[in-house]
Amino acid sequence: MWNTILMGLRNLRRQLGRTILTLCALATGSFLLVFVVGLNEGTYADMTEMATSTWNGQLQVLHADYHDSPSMFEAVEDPAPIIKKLEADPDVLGVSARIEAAGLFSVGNRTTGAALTGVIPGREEKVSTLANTVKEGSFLGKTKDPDALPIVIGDGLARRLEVGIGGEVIYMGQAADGSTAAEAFEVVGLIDSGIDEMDASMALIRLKDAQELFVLGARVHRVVARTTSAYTVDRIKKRVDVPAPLVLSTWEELMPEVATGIEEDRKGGSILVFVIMLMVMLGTVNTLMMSVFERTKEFGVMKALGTPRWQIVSMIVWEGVWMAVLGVGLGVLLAALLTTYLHGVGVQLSDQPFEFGGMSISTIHPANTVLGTVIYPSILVIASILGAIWPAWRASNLDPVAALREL
Amino acid sequence: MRYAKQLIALALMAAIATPMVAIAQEKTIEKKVDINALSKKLDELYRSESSKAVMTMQIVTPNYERTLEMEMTTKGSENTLIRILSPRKEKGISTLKRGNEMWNYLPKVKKVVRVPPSMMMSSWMGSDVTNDDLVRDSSWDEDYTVKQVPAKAGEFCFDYTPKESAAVTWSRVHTCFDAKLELPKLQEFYDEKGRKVRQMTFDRYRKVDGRVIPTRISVTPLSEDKKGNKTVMTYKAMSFDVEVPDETFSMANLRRGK
Repeated sequence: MWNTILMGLRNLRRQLGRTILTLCALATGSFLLVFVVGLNEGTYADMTEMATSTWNGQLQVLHADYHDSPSMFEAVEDPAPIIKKLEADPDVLGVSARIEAAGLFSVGNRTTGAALTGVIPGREEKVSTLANTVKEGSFLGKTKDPDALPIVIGDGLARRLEVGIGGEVIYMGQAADGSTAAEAFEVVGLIDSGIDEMDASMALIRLKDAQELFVLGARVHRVVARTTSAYTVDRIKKRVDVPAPLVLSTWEELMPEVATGIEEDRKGGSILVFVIMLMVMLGTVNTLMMSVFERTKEFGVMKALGTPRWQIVSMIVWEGVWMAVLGVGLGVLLAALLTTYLHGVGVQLSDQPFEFGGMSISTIHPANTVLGTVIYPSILVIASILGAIWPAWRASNLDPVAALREL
Repeated sequence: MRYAKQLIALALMAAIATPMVAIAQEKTIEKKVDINALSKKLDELYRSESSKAVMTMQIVTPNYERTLEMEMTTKGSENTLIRILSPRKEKGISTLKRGNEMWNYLPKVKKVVRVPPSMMMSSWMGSDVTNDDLVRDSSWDEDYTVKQVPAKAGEFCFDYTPKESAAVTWSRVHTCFDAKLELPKLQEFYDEKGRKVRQMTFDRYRKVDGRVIPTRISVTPLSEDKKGNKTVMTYKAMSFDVEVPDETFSMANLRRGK
């Protein structure tokens, strides 16, 4: 057995130039494969990170009907034990709760409709990056008037209302008991998230103020969690269960458009993967075919001496195995190193940042994944080996008399 | 697809009803209808030179049910002031409409909030009644083109289609009057996609301060998301052409809260 394996390797040296060329082709192909997949997967991860971390979080606990038809009444009745449970999970980095409402905001003679969200200062910053984009003032910190309630608004909304830090904003909406919810707030912070739609229509107040304003008691609309990665959510979902009618929704369920967009793109990318694989495999088969044709007389002699058929087959297949493993191995190694390096420093798309769901992505971080760096190259090696079977079978099928006559 | 069944049902009903409508039509057309007079009547049903009314508004939703008591003062078609009398928590919340402008006064924060024209079709205090319904910014007589349509015996029915200039979101308002009383019985509101989204019925016709008016108006939204909602307004007391000083509709008076 070892003889056959080593003989496969030795035979590769006989046409060293051609072998090196084929190895280069295999290495280039697999390098491309791993790098392109790494680039794509890295972009998906960046997009997901951005889409989730900005505001929505990677996980949310909410009433089963709330996602499809948000209503003041479809609430999480008792959020405290759920927050505790989520916080205890090792893959959860931060948990917060929110109340969502809409209504009229008024300053002087200016009135405009906007969304009002009750958040927990101190917790919210650990869940969404948006809370950290206060460009002026504080995130629901101290008010000048000790009796006033603080509010943070988007800078676009501030422009619409012509109000700045220290200004008074009147909110008017509807409470959970149907009564009119009215309150005066003092602007303590302006948010510039970079997402114009959000900045033009969002206002944040303290959760406890919102609970009082909307007569909600301890109820909240969403418990939002930030996790170690967008890909750990399924693990957490298995570990943490919430009582009906509540559901634990992952970002893929909350933002299906992001998940399906990525899935579609991945499908498109798999065509490229297939083409690269096919090319690499044909290269291996071609080289082996040539070497089998050249060595017709050699196989004739071997057969005439009574070499068993399986030995000839395995010898040539091992040639293929060596070639595939060495070539693909080299390509994967180089691509994985480059991907790892770029993952750290990031690839700047300074010319054309691309827009995604209102966010612009200007730096992408290629990433090694099991799929791109292990599974795809493995398929490549297996395909090349399968490709070697055909030339090997041909060689083992030679009629020794006819083969020797070619001398 | 959801509407396919209803459409088929409607078509069937129309086919069955056609002969009946034809008979009804013959009868009703006999009596000459002054469309403009009826539209004007609709505009001034609860108004006059001036008016004062006390009414209750019962708001029913799947999540809560509550009743507001309020006082409404009008002068001409331009000025309306509404003050909530009860419940206690909302006592003093007021709505003032003067010309094209509208404000809400919130006694809790002692502030006035202007209601932009774009909000005229929004709900008033969480009811199924819009700001426009209450302060009647649009005029049935001036902002709509009217066409008489076939009706049951004893009724006149019209389709009101808003003129382009009118700030109205309905595409059509089907209105039926009681032929004898010449008072509204039913209004059906259609949205821009031609779906029936709201129904308003008028009943309890009573003689109040010399006029017969429907003292109860029931508003039922028909859209899926408002299932189970209903708002019923009942006039408790009403007087027409009373002395109302112009000062009633001033900002200073609005801020006074009572």
